[in-house]
Amino acid sequence: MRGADIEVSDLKLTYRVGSNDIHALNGLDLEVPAGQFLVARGPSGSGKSSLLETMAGLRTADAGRVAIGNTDVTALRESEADVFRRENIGLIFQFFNLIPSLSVSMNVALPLLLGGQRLRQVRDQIDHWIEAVELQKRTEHAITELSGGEMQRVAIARALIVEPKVILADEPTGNLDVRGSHRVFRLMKDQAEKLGITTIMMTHDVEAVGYADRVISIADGRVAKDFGVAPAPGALDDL
Amino acid sequence: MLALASSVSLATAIEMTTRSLAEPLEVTTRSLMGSAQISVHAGEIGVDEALIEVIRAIPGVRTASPIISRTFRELGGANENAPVRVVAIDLLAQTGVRAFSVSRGGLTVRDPLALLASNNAIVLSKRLAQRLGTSEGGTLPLRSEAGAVRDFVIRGTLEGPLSDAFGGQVALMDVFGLQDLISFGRRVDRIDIAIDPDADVDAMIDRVAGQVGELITVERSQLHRVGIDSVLETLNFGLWSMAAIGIVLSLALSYAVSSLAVERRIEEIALLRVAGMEGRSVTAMILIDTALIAAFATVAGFVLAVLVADPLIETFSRISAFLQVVEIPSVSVETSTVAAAFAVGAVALVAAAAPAYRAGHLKPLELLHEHQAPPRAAGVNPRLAAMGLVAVAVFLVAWRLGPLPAGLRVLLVIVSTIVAVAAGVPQLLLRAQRMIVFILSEMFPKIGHLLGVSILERPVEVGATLTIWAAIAASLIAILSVVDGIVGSVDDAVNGIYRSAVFAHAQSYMAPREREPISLENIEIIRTTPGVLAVDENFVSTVMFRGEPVKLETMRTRAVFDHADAGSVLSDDPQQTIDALLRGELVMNWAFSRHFGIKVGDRVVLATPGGAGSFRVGGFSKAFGGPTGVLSLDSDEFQKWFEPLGALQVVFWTTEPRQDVVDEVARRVSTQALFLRHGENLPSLERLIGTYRDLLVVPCLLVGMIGVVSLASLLSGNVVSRARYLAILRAAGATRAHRVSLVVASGLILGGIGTACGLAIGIPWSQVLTDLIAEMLGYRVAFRLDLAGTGAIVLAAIGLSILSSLIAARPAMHPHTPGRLSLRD
Repeated sequence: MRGADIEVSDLKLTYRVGSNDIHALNGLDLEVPAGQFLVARGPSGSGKSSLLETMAGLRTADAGRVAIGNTDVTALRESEADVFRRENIGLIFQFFNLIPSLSVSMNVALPLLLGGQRLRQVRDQIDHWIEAVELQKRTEHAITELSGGEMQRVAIARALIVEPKVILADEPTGNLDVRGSHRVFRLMKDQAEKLGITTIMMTHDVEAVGYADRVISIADGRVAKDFGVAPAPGALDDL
Repeated sequence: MLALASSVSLATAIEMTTRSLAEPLEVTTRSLMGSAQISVHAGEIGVDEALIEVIRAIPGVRTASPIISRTFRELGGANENAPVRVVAIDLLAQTGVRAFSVSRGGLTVRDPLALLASNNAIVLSKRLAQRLGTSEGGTLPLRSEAGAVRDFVIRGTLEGPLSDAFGGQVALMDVFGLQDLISFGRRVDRIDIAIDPDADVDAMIDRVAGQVGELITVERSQLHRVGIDSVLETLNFGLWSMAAIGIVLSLALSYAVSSLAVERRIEEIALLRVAGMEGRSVTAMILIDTALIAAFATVAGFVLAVLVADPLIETFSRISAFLQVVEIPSVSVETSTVAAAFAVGAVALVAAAAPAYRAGHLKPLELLHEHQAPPRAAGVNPRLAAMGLVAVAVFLVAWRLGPLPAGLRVLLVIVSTIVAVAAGVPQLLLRAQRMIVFILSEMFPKIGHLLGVSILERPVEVGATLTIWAAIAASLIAILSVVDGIVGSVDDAVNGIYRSAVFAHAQSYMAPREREPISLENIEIIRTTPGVLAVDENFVSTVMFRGEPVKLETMRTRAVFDHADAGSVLSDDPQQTIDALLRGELVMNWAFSRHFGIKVGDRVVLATPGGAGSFRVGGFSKAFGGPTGVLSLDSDEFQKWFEPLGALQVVFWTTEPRQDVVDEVARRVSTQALFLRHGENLPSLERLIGTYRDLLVVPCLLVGMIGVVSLASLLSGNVVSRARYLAILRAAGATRAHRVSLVVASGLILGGIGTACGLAIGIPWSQVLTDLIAEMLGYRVAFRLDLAGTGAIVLAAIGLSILSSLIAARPAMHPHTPGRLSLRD
């Protein structure tokens, strides 16, 4: 089992927008055992993305704790959080967030190169993960030459290349059609199972539930409901 | 805005300074010239006063008025040696030529001659009288050029335009009185002619020329800038060149910034277009935005200019004091100053026009597509690449084509190299992108691949940054090389010929140009002082040749070449040239030969006090002089034709110990205070050149500031516009060190390439500028590249690029920046 347990306790995060305080996370608690594929759903502004970004160390919580394995992410300094994220967390976004000026292979290799490895040392890993997302024919293509689904598969390959303990995905199919969405869900699920990666996926897409080990809903910066493993059909209709 | 403000301030400060310098000189010329339309002169030797009556008798001549102008020096007091310009005119024939009046006891005197009955009577301008603290009827002792002290009797106060000549430091007396005082014989400096209202000036010039003989110059009176030396003109040229470079940099920067601003506002523009805004309104909106920024920058730059102009004028005053006796007033703001400021400010609008027009003509859907689509990777632009190649071709032709005028070559070389860097170099880099990325990846494994592509994905910014950086580095290298070339050339000549000599002057070396000569009696005393082996007295005069003034100087040929290296002062075959000098022949310098097309063996006819002298040109010298060149003659031969009062410089060689002989010379010469120097010639020259260099420091600093601001703003713009890019890197695990390194390394690489381009174009700039200086100054300036100085510029440029990058990297350092929401966009 490669994945790590995740423990989020009493997590609070407030944004100041003009003269207003927006409580994005309002004492959120969540435990995710290693290897679980968790799908979190909730309306816009419920705190899904904020939770994900705080777990990834991209934001500093006002209070509370995020532990991934034995590491308290919230206690890490900025540079430590950056390194921890690079080595342990794969991030996948709705808007793909690829570097347009880099080719497919260079985008996939990015975390390894930032870690100090030379391109020739990681060539096999790049090829392996590009093959895993079925983009062998696109290896040296520019990002701008890809379709939306292909771009997201590049993003998945980039997230997986460091063989992370955790995958955090924020609306990964928000920009894809139904067919593309299923392909992405299947890919993420297969790789998570194969490598035992703990996965948290924030999504509006009801189809994602079919791939989940567990489903929760988030509202007002808290876990509103934990549906547990394999919720019954119709149980998510109100989300 | 900062860069634009710097450019405005640079141009405005230079406008104020140069105008402040030019104005008093033009006032002086206009006052002295009065209403005369024709001038008759023959250089320093003057013209025979008998010609006045000859000219007055010519039909159509209303009046012919002689003029002599000499500088005297104050004696004692706080203003010891301060110049007093004495202008002498024929008061009887003066009517209607020059505007002035004389008052006594507050009442205007109708007949000035009554006041000037004695030959030492003088009237002082009110300003001068106030400075000297004199009163009417009092006596004013002044020292003449020859060192003699003369007592003048003050008869009144000079009023009217003439009293404004020479910055008001002027006194008026009768021409015949001054002739006696300065032993000028029966000659005058110049005869100014006012003609009848219905007479044709050109026809009158021909008529007068026919009467006075071919060795006398008759020409239309011109507003020559009295006393402005070619060196000062060169400085003006240098200053305006710096300003022009600053303005070009602002143009490039404004274009780049406007393009980026349009790019960043593309979504806003798209939405406005969708909501119904017309294309021309979009164009107007961008132009108005730019105009507001330009207006603010212009005002800020204007204020800065007023502060900067003071040190500039101070330095100019120091140089002016060396070159002439015209007092420079403090800076003033005139309409032209405001116009200069707004002209530079308008540059921003011109630069913004193209991006604004482009934005206004994009279709709304294209704009939305443009915003939503990921940025396209930049590719090679064949048109820009071709433009770069054409620029390189123009550069090569201009650089190597000697026959072109130096000024045109400078212009072509500077413009073509800037275009080559702006258009060609980014295209070259794009073409070599794969190799660059590979090299950078090998050098910087963590960020090298990102560096390569991120730098090259924005050719507009790269072009603007490289242009700015290269132009700054090239300007500094060129200035350094030119100054070094001048110092070096002077140093070679002076040290070559006078390495072990003693220099004697009647005044400090740094004293104003119209120096006091060492009298013939004192030269003889020096010659006969025990321990003096040989004396070379340098008589200097200005003669007219083909209507143009030419410097004529002398050397005691045998004395010089018994003690000095002939090769350092004579070109071609030194022995043949020495023999020519000893035969009484002339030797010319390169500029004279070039200017008049004279070859060795030709004969030239010069006007001398002893009549027309025909001289064979026997060789070349390496003498320094103006654009018309220098002629040299053996001192004995010179004295046959001219009647020198003394020599401005006397050089002598002694037995050892040299100091003892020098002390003995100083003791024996009792009628003049001699400045005797040996072994310190170069420091004096370096001080002089250092003054010029000081003057160029201010514009250099301003241009440097524009560079730093430009690079910092471009890199900052890059960081801000790439907030999402940096956020993606952070999400992928890039630490703050990675992000900052990326920005700093980008700046360093751009700065490095820009500096390399600057070095590459700085050398040809230096060469063509050296040629131009040689053409303007009239002597060969050897091209020298100051390696230490150039190295310092390269290091400074790299340091500044790091500084600029660090300023730009600040947003990237922020823990939550860039782009809080960038990843969700």
